[in-house]
Amino acid sequence: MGTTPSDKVVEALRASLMENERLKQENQRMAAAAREPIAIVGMACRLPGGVSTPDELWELVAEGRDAVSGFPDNRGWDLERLFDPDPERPGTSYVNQGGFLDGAAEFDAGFFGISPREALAMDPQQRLLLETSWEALERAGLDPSALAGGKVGVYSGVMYHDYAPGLEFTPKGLEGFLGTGNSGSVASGRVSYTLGLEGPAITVDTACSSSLVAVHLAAQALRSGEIDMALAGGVAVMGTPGVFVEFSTQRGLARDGRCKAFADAADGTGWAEGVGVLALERLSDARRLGHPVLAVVRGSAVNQDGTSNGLTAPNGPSQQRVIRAALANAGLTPDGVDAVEGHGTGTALGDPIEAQALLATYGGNRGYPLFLGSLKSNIGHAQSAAGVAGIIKMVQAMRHGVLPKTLHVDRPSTKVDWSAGAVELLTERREWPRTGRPRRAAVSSFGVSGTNAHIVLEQAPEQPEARSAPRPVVVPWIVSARTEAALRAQAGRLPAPSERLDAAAVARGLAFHRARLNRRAVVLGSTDAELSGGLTALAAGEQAPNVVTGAADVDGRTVFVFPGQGHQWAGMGARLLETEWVFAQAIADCAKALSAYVDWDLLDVVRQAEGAPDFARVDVVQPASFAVMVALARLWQHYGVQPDAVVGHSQGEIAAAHIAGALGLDDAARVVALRSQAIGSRLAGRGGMMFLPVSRAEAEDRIAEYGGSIEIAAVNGPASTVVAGDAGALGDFREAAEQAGIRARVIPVDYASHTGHVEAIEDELATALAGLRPQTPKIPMYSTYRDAWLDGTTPLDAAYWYGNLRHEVRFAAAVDALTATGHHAFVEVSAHPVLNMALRENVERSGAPTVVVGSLRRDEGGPERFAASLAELYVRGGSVDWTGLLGHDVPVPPEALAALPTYAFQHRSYWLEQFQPATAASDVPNPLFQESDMPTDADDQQSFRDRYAALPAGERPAALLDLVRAETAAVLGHSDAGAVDADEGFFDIGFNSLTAVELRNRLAAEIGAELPVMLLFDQPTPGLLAEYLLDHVAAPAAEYA
Amino acid sequence: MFDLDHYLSVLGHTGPVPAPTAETLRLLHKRHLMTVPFDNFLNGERGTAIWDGVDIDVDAVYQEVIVGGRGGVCYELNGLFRALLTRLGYEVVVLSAGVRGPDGSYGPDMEHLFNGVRIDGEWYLADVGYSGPSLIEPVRVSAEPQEQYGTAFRVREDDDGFHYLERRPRDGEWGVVHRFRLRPRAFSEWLDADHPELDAYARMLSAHVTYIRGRALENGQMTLTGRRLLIVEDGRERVRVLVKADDFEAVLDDILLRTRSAAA
Repeated sequence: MGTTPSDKVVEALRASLMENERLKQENQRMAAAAREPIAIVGMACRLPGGVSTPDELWELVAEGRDAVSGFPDNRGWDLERLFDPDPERPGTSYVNQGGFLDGAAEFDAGFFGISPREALAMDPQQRLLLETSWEALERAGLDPSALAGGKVGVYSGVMYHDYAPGLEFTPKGLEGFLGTGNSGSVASGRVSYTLGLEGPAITVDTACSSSLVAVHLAAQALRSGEIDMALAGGVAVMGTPGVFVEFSTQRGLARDGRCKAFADAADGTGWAEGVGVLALERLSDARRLGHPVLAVVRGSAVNQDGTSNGLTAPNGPSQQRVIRAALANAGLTPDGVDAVEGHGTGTALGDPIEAQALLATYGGNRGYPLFLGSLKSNIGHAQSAAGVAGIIKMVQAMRHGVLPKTLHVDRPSTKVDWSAGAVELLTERREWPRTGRPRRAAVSSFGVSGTNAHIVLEQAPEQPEARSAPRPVVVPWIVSARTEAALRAQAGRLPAPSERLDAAAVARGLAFHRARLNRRAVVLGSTDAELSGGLTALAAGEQAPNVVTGAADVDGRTVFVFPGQGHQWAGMGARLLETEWVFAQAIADCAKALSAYVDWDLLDVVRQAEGAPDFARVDVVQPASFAVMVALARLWQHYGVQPDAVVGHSQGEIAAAHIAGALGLDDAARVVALRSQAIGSRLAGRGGMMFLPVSRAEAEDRIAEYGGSIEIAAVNGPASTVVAGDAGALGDFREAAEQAGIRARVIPVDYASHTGHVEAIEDELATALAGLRPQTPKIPMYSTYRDAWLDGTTPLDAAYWYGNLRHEVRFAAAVDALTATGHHAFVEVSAHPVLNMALRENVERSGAPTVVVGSLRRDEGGPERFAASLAELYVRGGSVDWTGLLGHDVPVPPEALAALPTYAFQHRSYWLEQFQPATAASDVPNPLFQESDMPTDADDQQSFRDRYAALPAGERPAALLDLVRAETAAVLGHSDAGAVDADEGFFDIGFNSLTAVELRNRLAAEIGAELPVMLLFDQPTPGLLAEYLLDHVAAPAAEYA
Repeated sequence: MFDLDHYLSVLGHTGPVPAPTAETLRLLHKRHLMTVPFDNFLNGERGTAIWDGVDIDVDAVYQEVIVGGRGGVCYELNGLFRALLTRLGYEVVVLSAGVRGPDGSYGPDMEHLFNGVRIDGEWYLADVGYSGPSLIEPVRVSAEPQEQYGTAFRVREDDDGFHYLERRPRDGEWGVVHRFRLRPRAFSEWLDADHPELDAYARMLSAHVTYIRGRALENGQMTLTGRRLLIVEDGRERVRVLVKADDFEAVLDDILLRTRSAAA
């Protein structure tokens, strides 16, 4: 058959059918995406009654507690004037009760890099959103700082903007901060800015439905693929009591401040505050990424009352429509939902309308009745945070299988015809009914402007059982914080490990599911008791052998340092052979490579097997040391510590060259074995070596008289030199040195490396090491023999290895060169640290933060010691891959994740106090605002100049330092000078060019002298500045002198 | 003595004398800023006579700065560069600016001297004598943002007769570096006329000389003001306070390209 027109038609039909099928699948995929459940992976909140976590909220509702209380007395509200039981009295509130956030003013400004001054100017709602956003992400097991750049949206419900005065009344010192600090848009935007989130940041104001609308918008954006994660919720803090006054006029408030939701006794609403944030993801993503799913949002809807009976009046039919729309969005029928967290504000008008709408939508044709309650009966109406608080309550209720009681119900409202359908008010706590399907609850919120929202939640799907993993020999618990105090507090928050709380799971949680902040500690333990003990010490700020702490201030490249002779000890490496397979494998490889050149077995030597030779023989100790160093280097690399450069001291260069990729293992084994054999047979017994704690120049002077029989063998540091030479001469020299008060130390070898003695074996080495195949180092290697980087022009051939043994070891120069090229982390790869001291001496001069760590120690050769060395590097900022110790991809069970504390924010109080003029007749206008937390001007009666002049000379330096610190604190906005360290750089603690000039001006005014414009640039710390002032500021002559 | 070939080789140019194009200017400008540091240490000796040497003796300054290796101030470095550009065939004029202080005020108009170069009818600001942070490559006189290694620049003309050189770091806002009038200056304006404002300014500066040193990097700049080091890399700014003397000396050596044993 040829290609006929009918063939073409068939072809076209087939193509069209396939296209149809593709479109159908595409359509199904899109429909599924549009309805995909949204996982709630983390929650955080602050609510009245001292509630600071979702678990505390659950305790409050499960116990049926009432969290409404008196007005706060720490916000500068004029409570006496404010309260008046007479509702007719204008400008007052007839209610003096509400649900307030005790900690509304509390904030850890430093944690978020915000100055105290800016924090004071910021609406507490912004601050609360920052802290709870961080916590919600931590509860999801995420490192919040790792989300930067991600498609993460922030949706925040905010309706109050009354914390700060109008910008025309900006208090001094807060210029520039009040605008952003009190803008609604910045409430969500600041969260995005602080965490670097690049999804949309949207602040939602639909009044009391704001936070539910925010969650709805977040879910929509997740389903549409616009974002991959969301932080959604809301916040309400009443900066002023205005809303009480306003609603008093309208008689809208319950006299006792309690919301009697759906009760006959309902007599108005009760205002409350709160903040709640949810971390949301598409369910498929949460499952794929192993994030904990607390519950899912099945569906949601938002609509409007339209033209109702009045702008603020609720509209029953619109409420019914939003409920039906949410159920449709969830793909459910009304009987698929077990309970509703009602809006239920306790008003005589609104509650019956809401109840009737619920009866009309949920009330018909169902097995169990729909159970109805409201969190507002416990805490009051948290307004723009109410919806998200209701979600958190219902997620907890579904998890616990309990429907908590709703409070203050004398009897269900008689204004509602409850017989119209199966809706039952939760006047008592009850078990969640068993329905054979997942538990479901819906939450309603209705805003005063007419925007209604309804969200349907569903119990989290079953999570797969976490795979168990073997417990590592040493368990590291990693704790980090921004400050020392927070670090201790964080340790104090961690639960002790127990049978119910697997220490290894917690360790994985801490290592992989928390931010790595700069103040760090690692608590190491083989047993739960050791971990507990270490944790207790850390929390108390005490030292403990298994606790390593430090500031991650080292910013530089990493060097592996391989020492020469002297780090060996009998039994080194034996324990790691049993516990670390990477180490054991490397030792086995070395044993194989060495076996061609030696007549003993490396493994026997390491294990000290019977009949194995010991380290008295140079041809045993050198190859064995080499093997242990190579195996330790492989272990460091296995734990994620990769050298940017290597350096070796004397024979340590052989291991360094191998790790650098410049010598294959066989060549390296050959060099170390044959060279040490030559030393043993030809040089041993002829000489010795000696360490002197003096400079090279002094050592040179002192050996001069021995006429070349003693030579400089190595320069390790500015006051650390090794000499070597004839045994007899060394004996004399030692006596002379000791008489001169120099503590010479004999190195226990009987040959003289790095001297003319070595020339005796030059030919022998040339023959024995002929045919090496050296490569250009793949990891840069700095030669201590050549005092230069080894590039392709210096092959590591026989001549090099002769030169390495013959010539001076220029270790100090090598370390200088390394620090000068940005190497600031030094790892001594050896069985015992022998170069650590010399390294420290050398690097101290560079001034840059530097860390020097060892690997094992004499008689501490086990995994505990190695883990401690890893920890020492890590706490200073070294990059360590803890999966080496804790395993790859071992999931952390949800209970272990839930046991991890969130960050121990170090709170301070920030509240701009507002003062009203006491009486209209007052002549002296009161300041409108007082900066409650700012230092006040020091001394009104006497100027600093006068006091200073009267001081005896001995007290003047301290007085100047006090002045500098106080003024520094004032400019930065700290409440007291104690926050200012005399040795910290101004530009490191928050100064900029402008505030630098401000401090200079303030000091000039106090002292009464001209000061240079660039004062703080030249005098960089408070201490130095005070010294400068002492030298440059002449005390004014006393008038009566 | 001024030596064109030597000068070019110091700036890393090999081969024939380059044509006076915008590209050549861009290359030489950056190399100049990287090779010849800004250093006002001589201001300690100059006292209030800061601007007395604006019309530099090119040969003498060449000997000290390009051959001898000391850093210099605006009119020295820009004077040398102007001599170079003129010999290469560029159209170069002297411009001057008032630098914006941290409090938003401006220094006197003739405080800072730099060069304007006209290529194909367009003006470019060429300034190899500013401590930074500022331009690394020439900036065209245009309101259009011009990115250089993560930092953006533009020149905005205001109706007060000034042009404003503005700069925006990667994560920052536009800020004014200095303001200038786009008209060539004659040295006589400094030397022969009275400038009470400039004199007062000189007295203020000379009362306490803060040493400022700066040099460009491949992708940014370092500016050491007193003991405060500002490093701009890829448009990101970092501040370090050099409290320790060793630390300070090491940075100073680095900026002034004083010999240190360079490694591999």
